[in-house]
Amino acid sequence: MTAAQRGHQVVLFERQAELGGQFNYARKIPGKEEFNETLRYYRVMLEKYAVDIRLNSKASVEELVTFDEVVLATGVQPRQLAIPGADHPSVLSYAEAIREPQRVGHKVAVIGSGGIGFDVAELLVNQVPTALDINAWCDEWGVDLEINQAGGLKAPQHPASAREVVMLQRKTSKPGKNLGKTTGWVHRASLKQHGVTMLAGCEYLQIDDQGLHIRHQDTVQVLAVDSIVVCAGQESVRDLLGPLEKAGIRVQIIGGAEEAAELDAKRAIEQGTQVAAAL
Amino acid sequence: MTAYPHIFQPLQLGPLTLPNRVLMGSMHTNLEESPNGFARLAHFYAERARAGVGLIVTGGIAPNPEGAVFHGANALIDDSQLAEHRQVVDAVHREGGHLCMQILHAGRYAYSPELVAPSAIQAPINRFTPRALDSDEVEQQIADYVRCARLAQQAGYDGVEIMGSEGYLINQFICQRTNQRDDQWGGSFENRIRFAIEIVSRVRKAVGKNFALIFRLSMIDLVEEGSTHEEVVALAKAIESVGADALNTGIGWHEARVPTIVTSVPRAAFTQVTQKLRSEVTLPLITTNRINMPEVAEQVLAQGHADMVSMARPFLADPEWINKAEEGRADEINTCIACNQACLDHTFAGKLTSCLVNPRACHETELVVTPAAKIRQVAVVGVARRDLRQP
Repeated sequence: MTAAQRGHQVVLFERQAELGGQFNYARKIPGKEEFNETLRYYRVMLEKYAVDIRLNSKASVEELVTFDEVVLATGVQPRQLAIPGADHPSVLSYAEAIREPQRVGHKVAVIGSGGIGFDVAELLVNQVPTALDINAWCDEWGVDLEINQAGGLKAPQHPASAREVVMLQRKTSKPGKNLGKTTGWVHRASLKQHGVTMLAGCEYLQIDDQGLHIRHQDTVQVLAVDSIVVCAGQESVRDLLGPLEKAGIRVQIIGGAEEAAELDAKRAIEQGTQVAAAL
Repeated sequence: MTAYPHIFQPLQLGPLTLPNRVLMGSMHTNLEESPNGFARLAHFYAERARAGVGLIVTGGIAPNPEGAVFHGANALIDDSQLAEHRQVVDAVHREGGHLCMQILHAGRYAYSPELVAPSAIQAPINRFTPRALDSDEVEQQIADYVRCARLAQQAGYDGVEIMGSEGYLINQFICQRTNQRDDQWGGSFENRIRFAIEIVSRVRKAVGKNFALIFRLSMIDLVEEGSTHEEVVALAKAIESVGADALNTGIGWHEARVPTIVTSVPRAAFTQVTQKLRSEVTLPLITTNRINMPEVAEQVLAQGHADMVSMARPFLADPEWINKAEEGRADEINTCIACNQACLDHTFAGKLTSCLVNPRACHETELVVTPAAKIRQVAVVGVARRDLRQP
């Protein structure tokens, strides 16, 4: 968008049927409905600045050699588990779970307690999108807008949970430690209100018809769950990089394709803007 | 003909005639303490004033060093500092905007070992325990507010906003939760609000009529032993009687265990709290929290919840919010998604505030988007994920 705003002639190749990448997952999480606005903004501005958008199209090296500049924003793919039974039918990637939550059973283990693990858990336990309903939200958090008592507090009513969820992580640190400083406590409190349990310091052993086998505090146990959702990070997608470099094309890589360690829309947008401002 | 007739109706706020009903609310950006920070702040605010923001309130400036939000954060205490403030004021005035300086004393929220408060009760979100002020020191604190307001007037600001909410010093005097004094500044409700009343009253006397005075009043504390609604009403009336020009809304103390501004809070969730005061006072009331799009602001105003809306983060996300709304281009607004990732999370980590959806925010002088010198063919290759194990 920034490149086109500056007058460049921009073609945007998108392999999927819709623009937005990881934002299309975020916007489906209860409490993250605002992400729809960002997608709307880019849709409108890309049209305004006449960006040539080619959906469902994988750019080929032959096509790309004809451009003056190539920016790779090919993003990430979810990392898969490498344990016996990782291909068991009960296992889903976070992308699958978010796109098709109806495939997720009643008892669920979420592997990985980073930002995506928290988001997936939120999606799986929520029945009412309280961010869209002031009264339901006030009940959940114990807010009395009539201020009948000092401070405007009332007894919170914890909502019924749609599923029984246990969140696991390999690290021994507090789950959600790396969430945002001013927002992490809200996510932790919300999941606690929905009865989500969290286990840190887990070793994942195998998956079979019994469920997920883990070692936790030196004890081997089986979590008898219906579904296992893998939120164990992601890997950069840059299979175009080698061929493009071989063809002698100068390429700039931004966002998750450059560094996938933590999904980071902030860095991706910043890098995109900086690269475009310098073209 | 605008689609938002209530937003684009002029408002008289004390001596100020404002073109619309939107206030750009106070945000600490950390530029206040950065090298060349005031020059950069001038660009940041001027860009917003140029695009139609009628009234801006600056980030909180302390009336004395012990009241600063963290050790070394900006305090306006003498006239050697006026020149840097004038840079910002002049830049906003050149664009036709108005600028009020917020006076914020953090009290027991100050992240520094010198912190002071009505009583020596540690805040659950601070590792430092405050020292209780003695009666003379309370008088000195009030004098510091007055000095700060006079300096702001000398710097050319159009007014001040006195921060009385969010659990900061004034709010700490008002509520029993943090005020266990037994002198004239504690005990009864009349004594607990005396600090707020004296500040507003003496500031008004010092600055005269032709200077806007906004008081930010905590209308729902969201903590135990917070104010009752009757106390909020009584305080609002008392503040009105000593010369404030408008009341801005404060929602929740920082230590509240209720989220008040994150994205999962419903839009305009708290505006009815402001509305409850409308029949009690005649001052213009400003409401706030999770108002991010013109249709939301318009509805809040049309419903009569307030006379004006305050938005802070939405002006990080899009400096041109006002112009786009006024020109019927609301779909071009880069919306604040209330993620906090590049604003508040940065501020608390000691980094410069910016915005996830607008990385130019507070980097106006560095990340400059200009027309290209030579037009190029650019290919951007988007998401090529292969995340589905297709059956």
